Amino acid sequence: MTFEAYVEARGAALLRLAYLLTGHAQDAEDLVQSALLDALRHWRRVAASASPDAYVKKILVNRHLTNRRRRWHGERPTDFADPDAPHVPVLPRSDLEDRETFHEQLGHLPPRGRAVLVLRYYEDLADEQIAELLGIAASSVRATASRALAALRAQADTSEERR
Amino acid sequence: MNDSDEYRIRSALLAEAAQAPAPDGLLERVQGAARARRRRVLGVWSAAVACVGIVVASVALRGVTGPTARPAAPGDGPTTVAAAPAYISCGTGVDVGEPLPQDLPQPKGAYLCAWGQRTYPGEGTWEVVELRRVTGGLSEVLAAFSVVERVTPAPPTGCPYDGVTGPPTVILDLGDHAVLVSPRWGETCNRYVDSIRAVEAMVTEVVSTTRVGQIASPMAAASGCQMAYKNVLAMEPSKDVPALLQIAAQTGPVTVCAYDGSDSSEPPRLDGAVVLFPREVELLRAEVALARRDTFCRGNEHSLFAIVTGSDPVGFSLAVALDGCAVGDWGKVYRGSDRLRAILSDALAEHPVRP
Repeated sequence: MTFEAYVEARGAALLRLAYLLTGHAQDAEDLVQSALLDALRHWRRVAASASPDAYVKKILVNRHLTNRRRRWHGERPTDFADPDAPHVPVLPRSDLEDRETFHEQLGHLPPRGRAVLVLRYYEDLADEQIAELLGIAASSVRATASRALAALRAQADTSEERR
Repeated sequence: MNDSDEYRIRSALLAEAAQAPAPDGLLERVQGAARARRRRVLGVWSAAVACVGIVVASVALRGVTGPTARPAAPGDGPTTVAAAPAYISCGTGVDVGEPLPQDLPQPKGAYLCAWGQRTYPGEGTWEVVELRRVTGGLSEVLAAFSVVERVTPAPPTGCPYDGVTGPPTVILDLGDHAVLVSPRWGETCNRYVDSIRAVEAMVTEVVSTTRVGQIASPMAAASGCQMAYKNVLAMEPSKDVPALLQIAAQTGPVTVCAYDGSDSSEPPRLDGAVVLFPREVELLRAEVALARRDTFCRGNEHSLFAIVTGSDPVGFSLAVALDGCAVGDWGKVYRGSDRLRAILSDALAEHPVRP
């Protein structure tokens, strides 16, 4: 597959992934452009891989996280979510109907937590695939996802209390 | 995490993803940025690549480089403006940097190179480069480029050019040779925006338009299909092939691009295209769902194939051999039914896209 054919076929999907990761249209365009530039430099190797699409997504996600690490200093590790805690829906239905609320809630997540949720629930990747893509252990993926879901629940709680 | 939560997150992410920007011009931006990167890497040798980036190109081709600038009329015919001296061309000259050397002679004129795409009736879409003569605003550019002390915008805000992918390069005509000047370039928001603004405010006229290479044949331009496409069914088989091949329901148009790979000396060429009717899409989905893994059906035993692409946000891309058994994509090969091939062949024959 040529680079041009790949961009034609997968450009829109990459932009959707980048948009979910960044939350901003302009940032998403910049991110996709940067990732594709990296891929273009090594296209022969990318095209020869088992899945060029997975290769490019790996570049894209890791470039996003690297960029965010340079700028973002607010991430603090927290404990695992308590599995025995009373279940609170991640997103109240009313919030689901409000796209801006979800957009805001996603924006409050740490970059890696957000990336894990997007890869797990939008890209439909297994935790092991996410781990391989991010270069971390599968247990770290599960822990990160757990923290991110707990954060979403907390935000949903706060949102409910305000009503 | 229960099923309800999972459903809600998936639904919300899908809705969120629908807000993503469209990929219009993505390939051109990447290619323009690649050119700009090569120029930076080459450093002084970048003088050999004296052209503007694709963003500036798109602006220039739309005639907004100045109040009187106009895009060239289609075609490569002679222009009414005077030709440029022989030593003025896109791709020559030495970059003298910024600020301009104090001993630089007064330029006799200036030019810009603008890269872009253009579609010619009956000839498809081509990458073109326009050589543009500067007819106004040069003194402001020279003044901007001559400032020694600069105030750099503070990142990460305050820079309106964050994300611009190529530095505009001005060719200065010194009478017997040309030199180049480019706004200094930084990885982050540290470009001298007054120089860029001055360049963008220049008034220009098109001197010549040169075709660099064909991007799309007339058929490809009319259909939106790629002019050539690798035989993806013949790729190395994937080790992880799901049991069933399924494609999502589509509300938007589904495009079929047919390729002929019978000449092994060149990539398969676009041979036909069609946009399926909704009833054909439903028939297609039903037949695709019948495809099954079959080790006796290989992805390299055909010469004609079609790439079927859905346009919905949850779209799909499917390859179907038109004179073989294979259907699938990305190394995942299944055996498709005769009916599946017939749906596509009939559609291509009955209402094809015509260039």
